[in-house]
Amino acid sequence: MPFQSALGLALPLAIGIAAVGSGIGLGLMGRGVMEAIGRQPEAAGKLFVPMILGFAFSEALTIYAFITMFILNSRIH
Amino acid sequence: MGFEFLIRARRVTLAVTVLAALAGVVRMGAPFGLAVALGSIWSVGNLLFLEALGRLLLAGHVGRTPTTSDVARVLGGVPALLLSGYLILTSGLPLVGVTVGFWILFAVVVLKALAIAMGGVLDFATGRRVDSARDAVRRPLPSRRSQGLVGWAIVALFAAGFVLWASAETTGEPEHGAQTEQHATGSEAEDSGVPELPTIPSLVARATNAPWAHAIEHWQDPLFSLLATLILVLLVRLAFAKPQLSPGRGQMLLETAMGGARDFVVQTFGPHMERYVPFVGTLFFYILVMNWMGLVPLLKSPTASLNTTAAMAVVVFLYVQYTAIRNQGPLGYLYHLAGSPKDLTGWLVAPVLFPIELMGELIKPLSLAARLFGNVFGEDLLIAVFVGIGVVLLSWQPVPIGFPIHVLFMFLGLIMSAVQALVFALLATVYLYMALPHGSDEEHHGAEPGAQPAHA
Repeated sequence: MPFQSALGLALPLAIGIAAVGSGIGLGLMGRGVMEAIGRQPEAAGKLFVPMILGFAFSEALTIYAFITMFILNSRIH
Repeated sequence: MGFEFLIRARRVTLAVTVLAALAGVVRMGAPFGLAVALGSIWSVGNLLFLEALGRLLLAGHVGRTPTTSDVARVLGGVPALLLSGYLILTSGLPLVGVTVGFWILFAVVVLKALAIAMGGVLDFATGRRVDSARDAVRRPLPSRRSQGLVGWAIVALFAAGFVLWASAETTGEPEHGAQTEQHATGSEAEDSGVPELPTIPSLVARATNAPWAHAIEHWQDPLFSLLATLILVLLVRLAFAKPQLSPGRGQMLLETAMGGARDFVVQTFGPHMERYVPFVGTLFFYILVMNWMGLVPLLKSPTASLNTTAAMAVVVFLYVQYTAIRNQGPLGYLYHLAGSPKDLTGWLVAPVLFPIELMGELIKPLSLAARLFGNVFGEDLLIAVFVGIGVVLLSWQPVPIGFPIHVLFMFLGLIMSAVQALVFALLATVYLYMALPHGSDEEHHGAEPGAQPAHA
């Protein structure tokens, strides 16, 4: 298999796999925050900042894969 | 009341149409001029229909009985407009001319609205308008002096453009081609394989093909970030030109935004972080404006380029290191980097922890830059791709228009841009917070801070 086809197959897959990981992480975090707010609605303001930060860190992993894809994208053709 | 604007816009449109049709007849031949005139008349017909519809809908509210002519216009308008539009499109007249004529009305409306806004700004800047809400409601139009100034400026601009257009006849293609070209080449992949929406510099570069235009296109990211700075500076200058105890609309809006930013930081991190609010608040609003610029047609988000975000991340990195060294002292800074060892085990682990902590510090700006760039770039890419799909969807018919399915993603982009600006500013705040010596928060306030995140 020439490396171009390998890249063409691997790049979308890489994004997808990275997105699965981030998605699980985001889902767990979102669930935790939702449960916490459900139990203690007045804590919503306090939970906001850690929630956004956690989302940012976990989402960043997919973004890294995305950027890697664009770096390698030009080598396909 | 508001219909006066439409009536005057209609009058100006008709005048411009006559001129444009005459110019079309002279330059491109009789069919082109006829097409321009028909396109313009058709869009004025749309306006008449909308006006009648608006009057009908409002009639009940103002307690007037609807006139029969309005009812007739609304009922007959839809079939008449559809039929005449179909006839114009299939008549074999040059479709570029029809499109140009169709856009005249919109251009006039946008230009008139802009001119009124500019006149208002001029009044505001020269102190002619006292910014009280009652005045703004009673006198929605700017003063006659500003109206005259802005009007003559527009006329001079048009005259200059016309002279340029006429003199450029021999050298290159006329500037007007750019308008329709924008739709036709909406998301054409150029060289990188990444679809990009056209921007003003890229259009100018394509229309003129001059070296200076290509240089400007190459440097468009710094230029657009300068534009964002300019927008912010002008906004603040105008709103706070004469600060008043009972603020007007502009002052109120900006005061709310800035006060909100300060309250947010103080409530989350404690009052000793208030001195960093100007820095992170500026970051937030600057990034917000830059992100939102990508949603405006013919502009581009400077943050969709890694260079812009990397520059900001480097600034944040340097400021965080400076704050850390200044607040902990050079030795305390190194001690903190070694993991603040307290006993023998701590000192034994320190040589291992030191490079790890050092790397963590260096990775922070990297992830900061990559995150903002990736998010904004991906979001703009998404919009560009869907603009392309919209163009493809309607490419079976000969008129260069697209189906606006990307509007949905623009709403998404509106939210995501704000969240990413918040994340960048928030992370900068957290890094600054961690750079301060621990325990300073207990001196100033008793409450535990809201965020104690792990290293990025």
